[in-house]
Amino acid sequence: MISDFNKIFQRELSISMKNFLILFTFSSFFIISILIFIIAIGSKLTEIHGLYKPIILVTLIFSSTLISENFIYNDFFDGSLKELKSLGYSEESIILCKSLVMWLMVILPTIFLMPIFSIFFNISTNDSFYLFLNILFATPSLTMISMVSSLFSIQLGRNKIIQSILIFPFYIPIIIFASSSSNIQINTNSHNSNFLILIGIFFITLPVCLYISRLIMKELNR
Amino acid sequence: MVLEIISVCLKRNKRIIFDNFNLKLCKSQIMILIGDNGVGKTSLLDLISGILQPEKGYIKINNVLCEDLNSSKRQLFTYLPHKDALKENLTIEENLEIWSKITSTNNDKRKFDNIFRYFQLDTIKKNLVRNLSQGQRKKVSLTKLLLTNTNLWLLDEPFNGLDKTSLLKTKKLIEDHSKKGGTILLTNHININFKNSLKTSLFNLKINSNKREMYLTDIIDIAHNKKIHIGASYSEEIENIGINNFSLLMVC
Repeated sequence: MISDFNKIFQRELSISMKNFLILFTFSSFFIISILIFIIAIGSKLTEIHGLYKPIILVTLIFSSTLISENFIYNDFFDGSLKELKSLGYSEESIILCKSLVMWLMVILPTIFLMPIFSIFFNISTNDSFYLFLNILFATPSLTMISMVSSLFSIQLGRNKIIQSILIFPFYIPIIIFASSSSNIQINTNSHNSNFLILIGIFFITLPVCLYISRLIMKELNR
Repeated sequence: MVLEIISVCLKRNKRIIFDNFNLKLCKSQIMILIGDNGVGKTSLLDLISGILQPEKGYIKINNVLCEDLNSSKRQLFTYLPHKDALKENLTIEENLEIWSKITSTNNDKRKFDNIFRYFQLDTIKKNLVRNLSQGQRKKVSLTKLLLTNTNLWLLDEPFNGLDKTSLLKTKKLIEDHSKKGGTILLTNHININFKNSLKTSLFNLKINSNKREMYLTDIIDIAHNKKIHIGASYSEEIENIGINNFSLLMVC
């Protein structure tokens, strides 16, 4: 099982390493979308200050959904998914490796752009650090969900509206806990408690997404 | 038996593709599946490779049930689907290296260099797959067969898009594999004449339009150099070949 995981992981990594356009597309979409918000609000930095977390999260969701299609679509249409299945690799291993590689190759480098956004949004160093941690803990779940979203997209014949309706509920808990970490008081240290909740959400999202992915992948071959 | 399909029933999109379907393949046998578009040639290969699951019945490879095979599958058979599964942003060499890794076949650099020569890919091995023609892509895909050590080959339309030289080389590759004791199940739109000494069978798939069920209509051993007219009726073929040379392998 671990050997299988390792083989697919190396495969995905080799393919992604040769396709830096994905990272460029993701980063440019992410930065431009945030800049649009900043330009639209203009010099009223006090107004944007309270909105920076939802803005970044929503942009991140759209960017990751957009980019996850590169990991699934190509493999589906060139027959790679079928090939991996015929070689005895489980659907769960395939999706888990793809999600991990997407997170490492695309999402993680973008998270390190967070200090730049702290300048745009006029937020303090401390808030910037917590924003970084929030995004770091929220993105694994977002990546998994965006993978399921891409699979849905193939299954539903590229019907983006149904795809959004089906997938949106999965994003809600992550948006709530990642965007309002300073407002929800569970323990005395709200930041810590929210990070734990985000980690908890990931451990719920992981099996659910893997199970759904498996069902969709089976359905795709029917 | 290398491959056994026993009483298999397959449904796709509420349509019965196979009902009580049986097939047996032994060592050194080459079986050519021919038939019109949509009769289920690819579905049969998908079924054997475990991509599709039968509603009923079971499939055995080397006397082991397919459902019990997981990662050990890749040591038993090689399936080359119609879609080549090549990555456009990678070179021919990189694509084959990745394939070699995921199929758990250990091939050293020297073996790789020799393998590229078979289909004259050695001069273009550093080219990106996106710059290749359809025929060249097919040759890259077929090169995977030279990298494997498996006994059973499942080939979905392996001759499509190939030039004459490559077609003959592919034919030779299949014949050599058969001579070494390998078993090949391949699909094609027309019959391919392999060497007479080889145990070659033609398997013509047709759809019964009334019941939408698929039947095995013709299973003909062509080891005795008897020409078969594709599309001819069952009785005509028996007459052409002569009943003594006709061997019925299975009935569906």
